[in-house]
Amino acid sequence: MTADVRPSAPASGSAPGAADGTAPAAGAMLSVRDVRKLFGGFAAVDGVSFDVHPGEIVGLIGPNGAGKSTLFQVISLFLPATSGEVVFMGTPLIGRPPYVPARLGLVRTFQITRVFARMTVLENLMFAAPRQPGEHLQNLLLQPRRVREHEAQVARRAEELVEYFNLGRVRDQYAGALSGGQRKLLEMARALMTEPRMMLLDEPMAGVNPALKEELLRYIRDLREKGMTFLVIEHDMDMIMRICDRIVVMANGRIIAEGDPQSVRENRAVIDAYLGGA
Amino acid sequence: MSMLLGYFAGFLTNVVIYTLFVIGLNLQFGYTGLINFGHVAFLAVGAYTVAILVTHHAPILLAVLAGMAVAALFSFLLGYPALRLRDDYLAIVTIGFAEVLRIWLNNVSFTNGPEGIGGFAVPLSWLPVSHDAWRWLFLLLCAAVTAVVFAAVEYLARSPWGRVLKAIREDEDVAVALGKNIVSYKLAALALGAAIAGLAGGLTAFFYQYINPHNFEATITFEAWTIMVLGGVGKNWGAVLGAVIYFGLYTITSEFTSSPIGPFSTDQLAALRIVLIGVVLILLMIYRPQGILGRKEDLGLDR
Repeated sequence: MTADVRPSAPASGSAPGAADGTAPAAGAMLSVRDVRKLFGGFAAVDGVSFDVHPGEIVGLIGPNGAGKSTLFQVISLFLPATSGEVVFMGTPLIGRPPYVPARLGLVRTFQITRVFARMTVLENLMFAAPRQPGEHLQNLLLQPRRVREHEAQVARRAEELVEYFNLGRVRDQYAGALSGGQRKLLEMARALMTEPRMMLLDEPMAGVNPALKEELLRYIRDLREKGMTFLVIEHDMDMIMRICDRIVVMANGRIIAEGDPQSVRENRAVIDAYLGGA
Repeated sequence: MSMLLGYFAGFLTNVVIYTLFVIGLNLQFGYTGLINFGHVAFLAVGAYTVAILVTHHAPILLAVLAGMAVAALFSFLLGYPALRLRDDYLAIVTIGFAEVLRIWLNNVSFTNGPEGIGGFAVPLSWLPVSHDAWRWLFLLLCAAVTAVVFAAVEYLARSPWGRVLKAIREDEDVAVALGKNIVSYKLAALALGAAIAGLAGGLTAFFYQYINPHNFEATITFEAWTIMVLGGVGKNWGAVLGAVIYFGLYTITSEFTSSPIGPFSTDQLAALRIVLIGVVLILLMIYRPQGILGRKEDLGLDR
């Protein structure tokens, strides 16, 4: 059933000289292995396997009901898999609690932008920093100095991201008072605060105006230049075709095609799936 | 004059103890978003632990610490299963627990059932002073304890730990997606809030010098919620201000119910007084829904 249309030559998407000098790794960064997810008797995801390599931008597309979002929830551990395994940088994830992926460097965003409304932009960012000693009561009591020093570091990192995403003017405002576009940028900045190696983006272009779309595309490209890896679910075909190195196409819970944008666009099974064929 | 002063000391002590009690609730709901509708249970646990231990000649300080620990333990036992579910379940579990606890306290022998416990030692009783002077000294003690707790909670709320609590209040899923193990934070906030209520319970036992299950009716929980909402949710100063206003209203209006006025009997006046307090609270909620110290933005923000 799976029509592998991937060209025999290495896809354009092997890491294009990741900034931190990581060589295009032989191993996959994220490996999805025969994942199934049943709801009652219905297989929303029915035996899906694919890899994402370091430095790649991989798109996950498919018509409504294809199982993309369910798969996304399974990979991010927000839904338990019925069977199969997801391995991130050598660590099996299935069965672990949903806060684990972010700690390992795999962070997700949400389809509808979700900011902490009654916290300032800076607080939103600082919250997401990993391994903060001040998050533990015993350190607040016993090592207040270490907490303060780390907090200053976290604040500096947050300020950098505020600058990078042009949020300087609203840094001390409640996130709930931001415009839709600013929230999108804040959400991306906040995900970056976790110091991820790879980002899972859930329909980043949903409800986004054309100008902001171009801005987001620039950020995603720039982050990839700096070594970030992406798996993106998206309905916006224009965005997918422009930015992805490789596209995985799902229909009825299975992968029906996988390859570079050009080959996927011309793939018969894909065209049939989108036009309502079997 | 001295009787009036003593009465005033009692009024202030009540305000201070309620402030402490509400600071605990505010840590749970105001900062973390946990809906605890059985806060009075932790007050009762603290009060009874202290009363029983001190009756058996335990040192007062030790008894109070034990009261806090037992309250925290109970909250942990409630929260551990309930916090894994959605927050609404915590509301149901806590309100149920508070009622069960009160009825249980009323029906077991080691608490003397409805007769309650009295005659135990109280702090500062070794001082050679009059009863009225003791009331003022006890007020100072309660105020000092409350001030320390207030400062500690403020410090925690401004720390990275407090930031996690606020993020949980705003959006649990996102907090998890960003790598935080939120269950442990929710349990800690619940247990700390309960320990603070247990401390308030210990002070209550010394203040009344006699406790029985009637002191721990569900209305106390809702008075605490009223005070928190009045002052401004998520603001510790709001607990102070809310307690002053609530008991101010309560006390001032009680002056007008001691003798009949016009066509109204004292019974009718007592009922009218509750209506009046209700109307004032409703007006406040209409014209200042964020509470007295709350910020308007705290309400109008969409997620």
